[in-house]
Amino acid sequence: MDVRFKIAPSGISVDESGLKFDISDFDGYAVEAALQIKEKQADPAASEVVVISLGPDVVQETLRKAMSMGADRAVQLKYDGPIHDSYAIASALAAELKGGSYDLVMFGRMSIDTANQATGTIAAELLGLPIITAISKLDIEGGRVKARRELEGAYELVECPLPAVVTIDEGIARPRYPSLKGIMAAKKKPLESKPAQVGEERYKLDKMELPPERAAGRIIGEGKDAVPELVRLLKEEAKVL
Amino acid sequence: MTVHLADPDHNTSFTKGVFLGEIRESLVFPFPELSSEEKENLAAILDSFRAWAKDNVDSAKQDHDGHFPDNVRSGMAELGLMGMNIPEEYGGFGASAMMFNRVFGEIGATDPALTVYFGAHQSIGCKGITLFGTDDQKKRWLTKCASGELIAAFCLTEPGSGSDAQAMRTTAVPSADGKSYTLNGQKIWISNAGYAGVFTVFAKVPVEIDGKPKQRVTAFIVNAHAPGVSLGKIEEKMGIKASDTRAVTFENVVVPVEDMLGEVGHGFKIALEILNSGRLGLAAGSARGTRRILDIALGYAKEREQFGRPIGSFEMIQRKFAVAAAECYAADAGWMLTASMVDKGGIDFSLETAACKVFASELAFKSSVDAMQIAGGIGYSKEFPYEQAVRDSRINMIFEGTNEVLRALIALSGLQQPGEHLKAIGKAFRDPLHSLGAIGSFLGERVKRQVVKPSFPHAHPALKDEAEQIATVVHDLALGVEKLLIAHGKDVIEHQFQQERMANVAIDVYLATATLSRASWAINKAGGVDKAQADLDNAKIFIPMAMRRARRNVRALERNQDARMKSLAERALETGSLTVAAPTDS
Repeated sequence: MDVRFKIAPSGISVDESGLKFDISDFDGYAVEAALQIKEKQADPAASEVVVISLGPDVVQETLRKAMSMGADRAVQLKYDGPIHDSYAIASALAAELKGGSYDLVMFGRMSIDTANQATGTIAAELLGLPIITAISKLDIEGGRVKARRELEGAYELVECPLPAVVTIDEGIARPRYPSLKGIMAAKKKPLESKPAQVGEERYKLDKMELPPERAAGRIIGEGKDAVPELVRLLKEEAKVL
Repeated sequence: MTVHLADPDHNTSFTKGVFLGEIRESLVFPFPELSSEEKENLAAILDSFRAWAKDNVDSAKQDHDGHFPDNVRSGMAELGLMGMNIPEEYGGFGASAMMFNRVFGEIGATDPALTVYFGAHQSIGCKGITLFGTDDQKKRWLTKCASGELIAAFCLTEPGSGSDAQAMRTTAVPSADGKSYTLNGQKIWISNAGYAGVFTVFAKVPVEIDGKPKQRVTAFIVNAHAPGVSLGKIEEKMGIKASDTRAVTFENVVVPVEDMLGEVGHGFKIALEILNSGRLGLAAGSARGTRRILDIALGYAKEREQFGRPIGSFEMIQRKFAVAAAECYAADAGWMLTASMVDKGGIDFSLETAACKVFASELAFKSSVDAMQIAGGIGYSKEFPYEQAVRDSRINMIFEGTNEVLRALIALSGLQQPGEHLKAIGKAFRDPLHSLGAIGSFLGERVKRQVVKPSFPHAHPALKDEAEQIATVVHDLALGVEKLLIAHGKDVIEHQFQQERMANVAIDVYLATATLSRASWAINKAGGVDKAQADLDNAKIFIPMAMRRARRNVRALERNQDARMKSLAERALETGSLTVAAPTDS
């Protein structure tokens, strides 16, 4: 069934009724890249992929999906209110990640719903770790990240020591489809839920608006005779000529 | 052997009760629900399948090419779907019938040929091993079937043996040392034959009974790559073209005795049991396929304008959608209710799966023809999905038991108990002095049945009239059945005009009952009629429509033109033509 995209009465969030949430595309690439790194290790069982999401209980479904793809465990940083400032989100993630002995923290390049792309960068800064953004190819060699970043008509190869933060662009890997076995296994994997230590929001969202609806079309006439009138209207009314 | 089979002495049946004038309401109320865990699992599986199918399955291209690309087959295996209804201990997912058939439906709505691949493998191909295999057989074969490493196929039909499985010619002769059987014969129309690594094969084994040589149908698990197995060319079919259908020939194929499935002589029962549950998938697939093609037609009817308005606003188009919606509602209710019977166990669902398959397969074909009609000229074009839907849906009325054979199965199985009952009474009448008790209770039952109608105490009050209509039909059918049996006795087996009518009544009664149960559940769940208007509308259209048909069929048990119908048909058969002399003849 089609669900129409609507803004909630508050005017600063989306009406979520009937909407189904899924992993943001870039986060999906990040999960897949993480799983592939793990699978490439000499002893895959010795490394661990953990997925973390901040949000209300509905994110548990998303975390479960990442675990059905193969992630080992999940953490929900529970937060029910609307949140917009990347700094506030990043500070909650950094609080969770601090002291977690992670070698690599992977973010999607951006969230596709709000087009927000600062969270990973701010988290790296708060954690005091190096960051490489918008990676399209990634290798771990000798304790270092070797990454490729796509530029307009070119690319650059960069590297930095672990531990590090990276944000993942498309093209790195298509996320795998959860298998029936993965789905069942995910149900037994640990999903920890704890309150998010959200930092101060330093900007506020004032208002969301849908683009104005297009006016209905008008038929001016048929054949050659209608052309002068059409040109006049395009000039005077629509002002496009 | 554990017999899972439909056995009226052990397992109760809703439809067999209908032939006796009974409504066994506890078998059909309340409407089944999924647990929240099952719901989550199902949502995750469907999400994953849809995402994969969107990226990988191109139904029109596969139809055109006549085969699946490799990534489609490998993808199905990687998703774990090829082991969906294989038990977990043998590497499968161990899905309930409810889950399995829902996913079957989803695959069917995505690409019918792909469901044939999926269903021929585990609904029938290796289902026999799941149901009747020893632990050793399951370990050796099922685990590989579950991973998709081995694809299974079901080999029953032969050139001279289709619906009549007893006419089978394939033989399996035991070796002198008793260590193996040698298989010879040919099977045709074998779905998945070209992909198969393992076959379930039915063959006749020579045995001696009371000193006389006999042949007994027996099931075998056969390595598809064993020496002596050869495949025919791919059949060019009207629809489900990407599915691989071929003849399979067995020439002195040696089958180790460890691969006999069940016991000698149990093959026929095993085949029936496999098909009894297997055909429910076709019902679920047909129902969902119906919805898919009508959804496409709905989109078109909203867009396409004639006389300045969308054609969907015209009532001739609306009638098609309304009837299809109500019938789809019933078909879905039917397979879901039946799946819950399969899952509960201890219930004979053999006639219900047959009823669902007959109803849904005819619905899918009719609806795809309607969808094509709504689409007009473009419906006939290969650029649009309608004509493929017409071709693909047609097979469901033919395979896994033709709808004619299934109707005969429903009628004759339904008549069994009333027939036995009357036979006992017949004997009693011949010796009335010693059987007064039996005659008394028979007459008493009869009087009671005339006065006390069966009912549905748990139907929602808003559907009271509809419930009564069904109950009246059940009551009248039983009376009609009794008269028929008194008139014909066991010769009723020859009266297929009547069998078809009785079967149609039983099918309509079952689908109407499933609809009643589903709508009652929906109204209760929503907390009122006003909150479940769509359910109410569907039930109030479907049940009276089906019961009008049923009443007509019940009446026709007594008043019909069967003799004239027979003479028309026999004249045509004799002359080999339908032609009657006409003024325009030349």
